[in-house]
Amino acid sequence: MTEKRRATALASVDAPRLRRLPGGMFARRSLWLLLTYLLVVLLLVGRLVQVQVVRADDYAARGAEQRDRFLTLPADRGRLYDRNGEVLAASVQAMTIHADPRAFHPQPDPATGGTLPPAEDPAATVAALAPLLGVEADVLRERIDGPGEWVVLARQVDRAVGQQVRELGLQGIGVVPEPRRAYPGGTLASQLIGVTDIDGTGIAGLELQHEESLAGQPGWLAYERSEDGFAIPTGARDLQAPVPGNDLVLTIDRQVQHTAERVAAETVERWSASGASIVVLEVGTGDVLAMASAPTVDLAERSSITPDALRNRAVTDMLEPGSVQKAITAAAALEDGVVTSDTRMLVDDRISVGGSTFSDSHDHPVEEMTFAEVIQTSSNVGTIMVAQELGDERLAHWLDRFGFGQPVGVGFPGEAAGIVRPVEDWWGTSLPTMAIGQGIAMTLLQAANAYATLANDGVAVTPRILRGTVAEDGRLQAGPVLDGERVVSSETARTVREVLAGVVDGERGTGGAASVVGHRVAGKTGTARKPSPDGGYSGGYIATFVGMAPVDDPRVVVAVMVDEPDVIWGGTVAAPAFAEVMTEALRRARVAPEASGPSLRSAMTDARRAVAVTRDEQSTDGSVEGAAAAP
Amino acid sequence: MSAVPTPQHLRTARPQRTTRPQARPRLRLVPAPARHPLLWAAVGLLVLALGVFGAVTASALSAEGAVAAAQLEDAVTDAQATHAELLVEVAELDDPARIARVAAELGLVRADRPRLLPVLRVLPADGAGADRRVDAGDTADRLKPLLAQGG
Repeated sequence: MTEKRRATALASVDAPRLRRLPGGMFARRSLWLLLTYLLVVLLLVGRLVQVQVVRADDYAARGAEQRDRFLTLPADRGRLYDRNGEVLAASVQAMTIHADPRAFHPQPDPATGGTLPPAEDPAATVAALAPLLGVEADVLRERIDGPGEWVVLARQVDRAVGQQVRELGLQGIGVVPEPRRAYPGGTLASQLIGVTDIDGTGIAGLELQHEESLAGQPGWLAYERSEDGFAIPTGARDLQAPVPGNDLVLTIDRQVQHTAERVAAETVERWSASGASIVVLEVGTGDVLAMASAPTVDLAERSSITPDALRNRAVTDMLEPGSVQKAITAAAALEDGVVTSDTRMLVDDRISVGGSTFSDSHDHPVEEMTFAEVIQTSSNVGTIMVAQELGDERLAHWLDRFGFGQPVGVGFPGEAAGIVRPVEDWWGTSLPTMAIGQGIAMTLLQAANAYATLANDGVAVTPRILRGTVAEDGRLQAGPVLDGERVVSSETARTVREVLAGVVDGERGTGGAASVVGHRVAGKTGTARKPSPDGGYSGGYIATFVGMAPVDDPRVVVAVMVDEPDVIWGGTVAAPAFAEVMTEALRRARVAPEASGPSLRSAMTDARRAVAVTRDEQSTDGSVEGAAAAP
Repeated sequence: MSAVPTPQHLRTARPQRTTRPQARPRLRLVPAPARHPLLWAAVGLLVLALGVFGAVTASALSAEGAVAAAQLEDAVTDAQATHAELLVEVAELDDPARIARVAAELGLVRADRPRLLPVLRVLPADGAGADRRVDAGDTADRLKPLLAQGG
């Protein structure tokens, strides 16, 4: 028994004391626990339903707002090429530097309620950026000190500059790409090409005229980005590629254009003129090979661009052509059979018509002239006599047939139509004044086009500046070629050309300075008084020369207008400019010279002989000097 | 050849079954070899790990491809921008006004009245030059190489 008690005692000491819960307590607690879990699960499910179902759209929208980005992709603006594929205008990638001014100001700290220091030192930022951007430090400081969240510090800087700014890693400074229009020729054809605004929209010239074709269609890119701003590589991405604008091929020949601009500028300087214009047309096609105005404007210097400087004078400015018009009067008279080139006339130096007296440029006794000599000597009196034979109606008809008083049709912005009064509004002096190129207004392009009609054997072709577009395969997609319209017979045209050739190479011609080495030239000088804005005529003159070459088969027409030169005569001022431009135009057109000169072989023989003689002389001199120098 | 029946006397009686066929051994369920539960867990984890690894690898490869594509797009954009810049730079460098200016700086002067020398025979260079010239009545084919060079 002792052992049994001991065991009982030990058992009572070592065994844990188990306490039986009251009946049902465990089950109740389990139930509560289960209910609690259930409640939590219900809460979670409820929240899930709220998030995923009830407010799903809202949260999806918020997420998308934070994650999705939509970029508008600007279309590459089309390029402008000259007729040989040389670039006249192109868009390049530039960079725009912007800043978030908040990064340079103390900002409230939402966590502590205090103030956070600026993320970046404004002074250091300005010091780093000013030399790179070429902007005054004060200007930069003013911009980043200003209010707002986004200010532009510099637009369209070079891509390399943008990269340098990016590498600085400045807080609050951003760099975004932006296309910039570049005009590599600077002043070359600037008034013709026109210009875009800083956003790349054409505002003048061909840039404006062909805006729709050049602009293209912008595209867009939708993508997802991470919190740090980088695109999520595997995220959703939707791209609508932009459609680039058309590349346009102009009819301009860059070399001829350059020559025309240089000559125009030199002419303005030489004759202290207020301006000059030159138009070069290709006969047969109507292609405008050059259209120059002086003074010109550099498209690379935006600050120098003004509407007045961008004026394409050859198309937008009207002038009274003066004696240049006599070729048209002559063509009309010849076509209508009023005269022939050999018709002899007694011409005084004065004539009274409609109560006004018209005189020639110089006094002379009554003399007998052929009609050709009347034109070649630019006799106002003789021309008026022929015009009187022609009559108002017929002269008005021919002015209309040659396209005066209506736009030429190149579609250039601001193209002037010229002024020709309706024949019913003519009065006593209208006929004589218009016959000699006064009281009628036209653009230089109109004058050139009328002469191109004569050069093209009497068939008028609408001038064109746009040759075509560049197709996707790089080939030229030529624009429509309009049919020509016969204005006068080829015989009349040839006769007028021969008459006009006498202006240049005739003994009494007024345009001798327009002669071109190796080619026969036909043309007409013009010296016209400038109309005054207040009515009547001002004291200024316009000197002109319009002509073509070669006479037998004209390939090029050149028209020159010099505004208010200090020497007024077209034969003195405009004719030399014509000759220089025509020389270059014929060379570019590879027109073989007509005149015979020393052959290349004989010239080379002469040159070798000259070199040999020079060497002999040097050799002799050297030996003499060497002998003299020897001890 | 048909079978010949065996004569009656030659036939032997079918041996009589003398013993009872042995009873089939009693089938009993053999307990499958016990596999440790951890083995299943390990296999499951392995499959899960492989699945996750595969998914992650596929995602990474996809991301790598996307990154490479983005880099290529950036490179193309950059190359196009560089091409446009170079195109403009070339046009600036061969601008006639610049060439004239440089020529003047080098001491060249413009001939006032050029002298024309008629060539009595066609030189090879003339023929080669004629191929390159661009006349007024050019077709698309003749302008193409020029435009292709220009961009």
